Amino acid sequence: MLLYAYKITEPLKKAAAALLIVIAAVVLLPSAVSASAAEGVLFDEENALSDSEYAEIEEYAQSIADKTGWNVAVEFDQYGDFSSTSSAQSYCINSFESYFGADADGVYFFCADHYTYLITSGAAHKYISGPEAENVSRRGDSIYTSDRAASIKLVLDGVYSEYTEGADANNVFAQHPGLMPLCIVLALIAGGIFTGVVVSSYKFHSKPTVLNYVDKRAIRFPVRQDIFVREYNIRHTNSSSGGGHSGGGHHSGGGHSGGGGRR
Amino acid sequence: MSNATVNYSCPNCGGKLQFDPQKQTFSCEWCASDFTEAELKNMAPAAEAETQLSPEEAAAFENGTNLYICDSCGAEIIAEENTAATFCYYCHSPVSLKGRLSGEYCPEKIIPFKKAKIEAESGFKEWCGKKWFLPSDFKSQGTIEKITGLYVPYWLADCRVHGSLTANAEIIHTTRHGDTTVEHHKVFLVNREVNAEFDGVPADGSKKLDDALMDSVEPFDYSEMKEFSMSYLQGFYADKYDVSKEEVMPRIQARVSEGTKELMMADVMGYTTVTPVSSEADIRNVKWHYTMLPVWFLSYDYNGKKYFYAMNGQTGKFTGIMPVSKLKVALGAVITAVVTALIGGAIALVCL
Repeated sequence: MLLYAYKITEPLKKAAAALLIVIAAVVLLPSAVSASAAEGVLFDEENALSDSEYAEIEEYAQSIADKTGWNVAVEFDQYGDFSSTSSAQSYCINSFESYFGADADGVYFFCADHYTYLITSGAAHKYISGPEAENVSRRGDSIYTSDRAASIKLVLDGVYSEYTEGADANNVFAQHPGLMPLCIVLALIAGGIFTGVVVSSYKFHSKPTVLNYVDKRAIRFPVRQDIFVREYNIRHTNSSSGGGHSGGGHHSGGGHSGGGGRR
Repeated sequence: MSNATVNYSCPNCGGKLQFDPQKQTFSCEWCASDFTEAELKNMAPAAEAETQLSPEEAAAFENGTNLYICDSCGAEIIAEENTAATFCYYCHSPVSLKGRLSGEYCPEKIIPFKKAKIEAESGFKEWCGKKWFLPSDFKSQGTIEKITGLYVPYWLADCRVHGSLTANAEIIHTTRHGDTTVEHHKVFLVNREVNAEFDGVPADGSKKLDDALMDSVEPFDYSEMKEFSMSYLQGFYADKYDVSKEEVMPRIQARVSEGTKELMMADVMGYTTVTPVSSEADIRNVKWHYTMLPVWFLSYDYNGKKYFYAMNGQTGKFTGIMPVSKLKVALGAVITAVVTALIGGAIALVCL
């Protein structure tokens, strides 16, 4: 297109600009909305971190929240009931729900008295559950034996790592390899048909019939012969075809999962 | 150089008379007087007589004179070889070049313009109005103002034709018994012969006009045809023919042959399928009529290519090939492709 000197008029420029704005809004708005709603928070009831470490971890947690669109919380707490895994799980779920809400997407990493617990919710649960939750939790094993800030960062890095891997795996085109080629073929066919229809419709040449000039009163048919030649039959037998549908499975998503306790 | 032009002047004020398609009279643009053809002939019999050339003028025409003097302003007018009526480039007075339409080039009949320029312009705007992919300046006022009224030289052929047709025809009907479908075929050999008369089959006699474009402007209503008079050319362009009747004969033959075959095929009725095997048309007793037919005409240059629009100056039927803006078509194709890909992908996802 750049090789030709087209006369681009003002109305066309405005129309093209408006179209680009609409496309950009459609593409960017969802991510902007989701990113702006996510929070990264740090609670340190144990005074496990210095002031500088606290600010650093809180900022890091917010950056992970911005990238993933999930709420990210890290808590050091020594006042809850951690006598059993179930009580710890209940405590953590209540804390998450009370702060972010029951339907929020997020990750909550809890540390108390040499015990760590990880819960995930909503969209985060689809990416981090089961083995993925174990992997993330294990990164915090040395939180009470070495640099706590660095350990927390390792855990948060693990959350982001699972997010990026999951995003690739959850990509609709990765799940259905044939979808992208199909879309491209459909787009090419539709664009080609559109172009052909427009170009052909602009060639306007009606061919008039010469029968307009026939003197209808002077038409005579001196010969009209319809001679029967032969007769034959063709038989088709319709075969019945079988068919049926198999049902598909239904999976439910969401909920909370526990990452297990660590000592 | 020749002053072999003929002019029709208003007897009231001396202004130039031009044929008004809407009023179907000869109007003076200065004093707004209107005159019928009969009144014009009564008032100015000499003007008609002046359509005949003097021996000197005839000699000049034979030598291919293309330079004339405008009677109104004295300017020199250079006319193309086939031009019979034009306008002075300086004072824009209508000029009819006598001698260009004399002798063998004198038309028998003419259909005067019935659609005025303003109707041609509005027809053009309406024709363009709903087309989104035209270049922007195609519909501009500057383009529209270039619409020109032209009397096109046409050869009209009257002929008799004897046609013959042989075809295979079948009657097919289907019956069903349970799972079995039976097609019953009856085959016939069909022969037809026809005698018919064609009146006024047209073919334009101008090399510079596209034949297909001129064909698609048809039909004209020959009942409004009048005896030729130079006065009708006032205010319009006109060309004499440069394609002889012998040269247009193949076009006429092709059209008449096709029409004869259509006549015979239309007479073969009551069959499911009819397949022509052979057809012939023997064209006889061809009589030729040389006429002038009115066409509003516009040519447009776009990306080095010429595009033409034509409107039948009698019936208002318009035709032409329009240019397409590649940028607009590309934009539309991209939008269509994206929307189709999104919808198709969504449907595929649902089905998967």
